[in-house]
Amino acid sequence: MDKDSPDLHQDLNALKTKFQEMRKLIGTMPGIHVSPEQQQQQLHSLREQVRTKNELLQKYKSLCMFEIPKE
Amino acid sequence: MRRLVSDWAMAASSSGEKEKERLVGVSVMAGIGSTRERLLSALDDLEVLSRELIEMLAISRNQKLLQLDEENQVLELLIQRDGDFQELMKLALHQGKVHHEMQALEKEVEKRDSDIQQLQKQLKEAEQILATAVYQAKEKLKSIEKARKGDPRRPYPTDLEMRSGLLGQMNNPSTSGVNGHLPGDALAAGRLPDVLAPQYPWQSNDMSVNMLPPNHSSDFLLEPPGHNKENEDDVEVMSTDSSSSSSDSD
Repeated sequence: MDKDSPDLHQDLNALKTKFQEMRKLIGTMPGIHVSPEQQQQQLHSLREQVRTKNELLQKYKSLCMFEIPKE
Repeated sequence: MRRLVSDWAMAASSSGEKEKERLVGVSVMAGIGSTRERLLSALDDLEVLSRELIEMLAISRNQKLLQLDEENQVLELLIQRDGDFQELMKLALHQGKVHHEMQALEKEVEKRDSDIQQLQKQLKEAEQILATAVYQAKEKLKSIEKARKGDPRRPYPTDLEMRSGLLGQMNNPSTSGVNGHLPGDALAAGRLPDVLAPQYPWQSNDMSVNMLPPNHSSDFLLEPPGHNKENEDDVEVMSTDSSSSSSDSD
């Protein structure tokens, strides 16, 4: 097979197209815009936020020392 | 592209496995950059290596040259890089799942923020209501304190205050069921209309029946102004209540 044969070029173009499709697919995958370590830090931070806000809400609800009459 | 391949090949051939691992580690295992960048980098390498291998195979077949070593090296690198790519893809899929979990957590955080803001708003309203109530209570206490001490300019109650009090209400026929009895001086002073004049049982038979409870007319001991014993006969004659026994004519 000649290096400059049309079949070879065709195969190489097909290969190139495949790789371009792969790049597009990688671009649509969610959550990989950060490294795994950064993502774990963000996850930990979010869990901590949820826990803190739950505690705050519980504290607010327990502050009601008297019943509010229903009108 | 050829330089990249040659660099890889030189690394593989010159210092063996350790150097190759070092180069691989720098670009893949060290985790430089985001997962997406590493995937795209691995993909670029795969594309370069695969094109290089295809071209080498085409050349060798065409020119019937044996480049087995070089071809093998490129092939090994290609296989290794493909392995790295597969690992990175597994990592990317795992990160995708974590990302969904994080999205759920973010929604939960938003909801909690909304609840906290709502509670803060209600607490503020309650604070305002309480502040108003406390202020009004303090004002009330001040007025009570002032009422207890009284007005130093006039230590005695006024006529209006007397009439609006309990005694005034008792003597008012429009509010009580019994004949009202006002101080005689009130009528004598001409400050009251005749309608409010004291009505005594002996003045009207109908009124005595209607206004007084039965068998209790003898209990009525209050004397009208200007009454004296000389008029008791008149009183007795006028009264038709058979139970009346209080009068005693002289």
